[in-house]
Amino acid sequence: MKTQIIETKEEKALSAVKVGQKAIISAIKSCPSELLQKLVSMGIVAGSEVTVTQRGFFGSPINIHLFGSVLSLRSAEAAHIHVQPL
Amino acid sequence: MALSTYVDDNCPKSIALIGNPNCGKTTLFNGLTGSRYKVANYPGCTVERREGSIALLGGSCARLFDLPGTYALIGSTLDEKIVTQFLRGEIPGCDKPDLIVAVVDATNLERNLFLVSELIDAGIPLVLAINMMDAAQQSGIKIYGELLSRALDVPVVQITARSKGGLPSLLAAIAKALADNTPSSKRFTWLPEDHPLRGTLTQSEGPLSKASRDDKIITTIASLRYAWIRSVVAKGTSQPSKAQSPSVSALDKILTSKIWGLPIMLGIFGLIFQAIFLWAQWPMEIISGTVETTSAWLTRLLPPGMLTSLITEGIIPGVGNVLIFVPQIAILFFCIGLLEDSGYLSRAAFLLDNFMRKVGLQGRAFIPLLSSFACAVPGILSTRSIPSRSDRLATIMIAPLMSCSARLPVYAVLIAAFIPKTFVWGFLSLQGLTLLGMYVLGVVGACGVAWLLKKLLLWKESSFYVMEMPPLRRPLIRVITRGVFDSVVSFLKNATTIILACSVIIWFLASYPKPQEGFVGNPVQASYAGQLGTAIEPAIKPLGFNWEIGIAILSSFPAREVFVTTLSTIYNISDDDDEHQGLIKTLQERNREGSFSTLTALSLMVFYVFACQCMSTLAVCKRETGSWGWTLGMFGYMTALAYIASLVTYQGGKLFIQ
Repeated sequence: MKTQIIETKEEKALSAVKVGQKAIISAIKSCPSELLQKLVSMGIVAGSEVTVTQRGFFGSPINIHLFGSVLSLRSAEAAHIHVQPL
Repeated sequence: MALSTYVDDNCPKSIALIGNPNCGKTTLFNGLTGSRYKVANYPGCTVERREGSIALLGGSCARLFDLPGTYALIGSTLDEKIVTQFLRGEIPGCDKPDLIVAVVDATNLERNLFLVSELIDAGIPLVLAINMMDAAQQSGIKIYGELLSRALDVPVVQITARSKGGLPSLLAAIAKALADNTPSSKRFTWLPEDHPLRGTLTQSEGPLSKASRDDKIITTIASLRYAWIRSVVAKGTSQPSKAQSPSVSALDKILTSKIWGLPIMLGIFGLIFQAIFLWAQWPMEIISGTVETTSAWLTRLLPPGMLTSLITEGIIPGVGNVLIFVPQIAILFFCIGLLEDSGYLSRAAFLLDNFMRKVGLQGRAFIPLLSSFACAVPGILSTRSIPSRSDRLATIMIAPLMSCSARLPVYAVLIAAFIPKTFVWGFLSLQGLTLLGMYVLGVVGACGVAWLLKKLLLWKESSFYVMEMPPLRRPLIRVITRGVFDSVVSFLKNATTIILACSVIIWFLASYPKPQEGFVGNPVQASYAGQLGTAIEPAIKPLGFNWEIGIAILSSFPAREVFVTTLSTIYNISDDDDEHQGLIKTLQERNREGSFSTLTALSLMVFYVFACQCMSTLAVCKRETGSWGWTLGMFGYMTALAYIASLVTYQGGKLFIQ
């Protein structure tokens, strides 16, 4: 296994964030309109703080804690969401 | 009593109950309306919704509409469109609501207020009901109702719907808001005065506008809304100073774990099928005993003649043999309710998404598919929560392959008659396993069909999953039993209307014309039904079916459970003696005589797994897809699949036995 040590705290896709890691959403990029509308209505907007809580087989789905609730996304969907790890 | 309620369609005011999914909206609806509600479908209106009435202080009343849970007003799912249409007053038979009761989850105010801010923009008077106050208090969240009310310029009531806390104050707030009839002054407060979007947004119908927006505008609007919401939440609440880092409970970890998740899920579903057979046995025996005694008693009491024959050979066995399955249906609905209310269903969707994606579906399709085990009609309706059209279509097309509760009578009677009451490894009932096998067969067929559909017809369209995981919690028996009650009532309604009518028609077709003198053999064979059955016999003989089963299959195309009705009517008429025993005993007798083999029973069950024998499913499919092509396609592919699968079972089984 490759170990990635995040020291630079560079922006990366939510799909690449490890379980237990906290991050701030910085942008949603190249995302289909329907999905975008869904994501923003569920609280996924720039500035929201998320924590990855769980991942399924092969890393998908990926569960994130956001505000008071847990959302479940596919890693392909999470790839549109760019975050700044904390 | 402040909460006493009554149904009154003439109530002048209408109130819409709106909120995010999982915010406790339906629990609140139940709490407010008590037992005074109905599930209705208005003519020309594609919405099935729950409507109840509430009594207000001062003797007036109001109609309360429970709308589908939604995160936003302009979205892509059908549920969201329905809510928007309802608020615009565009749904036939429903007026524009006089008041919105917005339900929000106290533990997740920011996200829940997103929808509320859109509702405020709609310019309809609104009462904010902050639900789950008990959970909020536990996690140290304080809500200052007065401050929040001032920030949003709407009345705010704090409630705990699950324990019915705060409902009297909510009713008082509703009555006052209806009398005041003033919308919030905070319309578009989130949008700065000099913002370039201001003109276009406020002049159109605001959030209810149909205009499509580009991605940049969507994100800009969302960011501005959330910024305003954050300021409102900061004013009106205090969050615990030490924000706990979010953690997953130990139970949740086990249920969704890579090692234990799937075995536990299989165990839970296995247990449900065992329960359907073992627990239901005792009440079923009581009902079937009563049916037999009544029939025998009436035969002795009434003078022999046409009417007596209609009652004892047509109606009582026809309706009675379907009533026997009420206990099993109640157990099935109870178990599904338990899984849903506890939040387990979303865990199952999480576990299954990878697999569902492989067959071209998504984890969220799991919930409609699971509901389809109870009945495909609510299953197909609940596909509305699936945002992508192709996923939704594929889910609708395979939903009727899930073995619904109407198939249960067919399986149950055949299993009880032909599968021995033995136990595998000492504790697994072979009957329960056979039943599970039928359900699994339907699921496997469904996966294949979905995969083919996506490969051949729907490959161009994109799909997505994203959903909320509600917290795991102790299920509320009160809520579940209400659901069970509703389903049993609708099953009984069906039994006393469609099935009663079918049993009279079948009795007539199977009794007339009477055989001519000198006719040797089964009197039914000479009747209209017998002639029809004999006519199709060549087509179904390769499946192991004779003309009697042919009649039963034909008659159950409108509704599957009629199969049991038909078979018992035919057997009762063809029996010479007046002793009408139960259908199961008759079948066992036929098995011993060799006229109904166990292999035929298996082939028959397989036929029922796949065949599309349900008018209501086809009707709801037409309504939801809006297309005759998909509807006829569903009927055609399922009938073909049933024939082929049954043929393979019977012919394969014959080879195997030899």
